[in-house]
Amino acid sequence: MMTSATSRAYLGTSCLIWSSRPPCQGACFIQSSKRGINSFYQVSGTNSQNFLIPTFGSYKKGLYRRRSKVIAHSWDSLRSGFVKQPSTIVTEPKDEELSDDTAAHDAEVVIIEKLQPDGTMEKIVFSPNEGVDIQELERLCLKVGWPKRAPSKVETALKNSFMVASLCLIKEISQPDGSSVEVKRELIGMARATSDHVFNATIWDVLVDPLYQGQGLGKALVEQMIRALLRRNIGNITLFADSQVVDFYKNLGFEPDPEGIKGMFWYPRF
Amino acid sequence: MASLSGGGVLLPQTSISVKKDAVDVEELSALLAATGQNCLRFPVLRADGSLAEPVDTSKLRLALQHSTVVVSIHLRGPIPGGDYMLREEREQQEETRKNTAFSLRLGRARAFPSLIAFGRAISDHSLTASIHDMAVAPSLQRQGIGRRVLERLLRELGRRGISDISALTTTEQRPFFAACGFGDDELNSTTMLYTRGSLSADNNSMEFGRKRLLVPVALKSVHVHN
Repeated sequence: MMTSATSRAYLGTSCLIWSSRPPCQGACFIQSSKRGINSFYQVSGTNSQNFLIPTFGSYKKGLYRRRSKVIAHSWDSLRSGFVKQPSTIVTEPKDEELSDDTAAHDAEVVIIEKLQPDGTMEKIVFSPNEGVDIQELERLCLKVGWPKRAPSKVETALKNSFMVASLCLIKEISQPDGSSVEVKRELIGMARATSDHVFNATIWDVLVDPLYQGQGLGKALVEQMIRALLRRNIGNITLFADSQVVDFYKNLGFEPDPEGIKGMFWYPRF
Repeated sequence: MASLSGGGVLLPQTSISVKKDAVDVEELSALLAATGQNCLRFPVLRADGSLAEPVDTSKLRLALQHSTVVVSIHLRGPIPGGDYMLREEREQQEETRKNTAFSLRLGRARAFPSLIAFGRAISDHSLTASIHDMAVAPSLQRQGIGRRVLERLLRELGRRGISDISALTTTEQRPFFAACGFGDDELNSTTMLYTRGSLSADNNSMEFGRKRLLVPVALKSVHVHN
């Protein structure tokens, strides 16, 4: 449902669940969360799947080839990251409070693990900054009933989000020698946040596959995102919730319009 | 330098810039403090209502680096109606400038700050953006200067194809944003902020201004065996 005043389009159908506006759609992108401004990602297509892999230092080659057709304007934002600016020297703050468990922080966490009657192991895994498959996200967004959005736009949005957390369902079969082989990995949930890395963050596009709702997965997604943001000293965490999910976020510690602070949106007048 | 002309008082010797390095973070911190802001949603206030602490300049510098668009208006010459920086802050700023190795101004003293208006936007560069830290020097408000900053921000965001633009506004700021074309969400969403607090000062909570926020516990791997 597109309104003429905005290209946001999101929301609108009654199937919208777990979402904070606006719904995402189409492709998704990995997000760098704690790596700061000096990590860049390049797209590599393998087996018709698009994955983003972090490439440290090779941004010049890989990034421009990919980005040239998508974004010219973000040159400025890239440039600010690596061009020396004499009067404003950029130094990343030392995250002392994160250093002790940063590795654990970035790792996947198995939330649920169940042995199925047919012998396969089903796991639901939370990944704070793992790659997310574009087509999978598009499929998931369709499942929750969100309208389509241009994949290239969603691609850019995810690439430039501060954090993208995902939930995956993994099916494993144990081998005779005791090891397990992954036979299926399916995206069943995602949430992302934009931020200035220091003060403000906004959570967008929270979604969980309807088949897996009601198990506390959405809660886990959002809570871990909040945890990651707070531990980075980002204290202004905002989101814009549809009416159906206001109570969901209230239970997670969000307050509507606290102390009179309201969100306003811009509408171009033609 | 171009003059800002059109509705309102014509201010000679002003220039508008989107360059991040055009902003002196010391001046910006003082400008924000003069407008009652320090980048925290719920800042600690003194008994007289003023800010207890201005925003830390190194954090501010980082925030600017990670903002998509930064708009600043500078004035060459004394600010009509009075400076927003206190004498001690000005002297401190001169000291810092003299000691900074890469200072372009090379220690040349300036009698007054040049930054008179500011605004920045954070975005994901394609779908959504949010406006933060709008500020105009107190003695120059209500002259359309803030509007010019906001319009430039909107233009820069529009150039990047972003049309979903939000702003968190206090009650006092609402009329300004409304006059510039902002309104309630068409899609009727509710703005929500994380405010869950903790009474105890331990590892499970962190202080941000007036609020002590509860940090959710880390997920631990769970094994369920049937």
